[in-house]
Amino acid sequence: MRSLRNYYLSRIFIGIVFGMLIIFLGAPWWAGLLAGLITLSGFAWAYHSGRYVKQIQADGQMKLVRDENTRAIANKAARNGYVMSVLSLAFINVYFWKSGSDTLPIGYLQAILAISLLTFAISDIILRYYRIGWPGRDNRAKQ
Amino acid sequence: MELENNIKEIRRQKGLTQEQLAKNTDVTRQTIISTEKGYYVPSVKFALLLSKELGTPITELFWLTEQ
Repeated sequence: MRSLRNYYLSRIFIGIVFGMLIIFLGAPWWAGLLAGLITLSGFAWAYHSGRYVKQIQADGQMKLVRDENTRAIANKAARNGYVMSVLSLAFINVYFWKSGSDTLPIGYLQAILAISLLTFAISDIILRYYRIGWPGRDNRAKQ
Repeated sequence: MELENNIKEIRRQKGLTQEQLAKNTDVTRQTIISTEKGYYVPSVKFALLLSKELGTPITELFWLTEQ
């Protein structure tokens, strides 16, 4: 219980620091509060999601770590996100080169980043369910 | 070749839940579910940990079948 209390106390502290950082960067107070709450919710979700192994350290602190299966899933999802970003960048480069423009609007780079993150998130969900099993379907990994 | 296992049966014989086995082998319950169903092929280290925790030789836990 002590380790769980320490986990939440440290994460509340991180949430407060993150929220204050947002406010100091010029955002309104409610945006800082929202950022802090979202950060804290993320930590609370991570603890209860079953995606991480809860390791108690020698000093009583709790650490959330991935095991070999979930690490492999995250690595594959990250690889998919990376490949998608490279392909998107190549496509945009060819498109602008063909249209005779030598400048790339920053909005396109932001879109590539969003596509990569979305690919990572979707891949992570699909791979996770693939390894636990879709209901009523035999998707046993062939070796 | 396909890897088969009977972790689920042996785990039940030993009176362990998936959660307990996950905790004792330092993995998530999701990994135990995936391994029992054969969707995830464990590393040698994890297989040896399972063997030790279930008190069963590794060759009785996992075997290969021709498909």
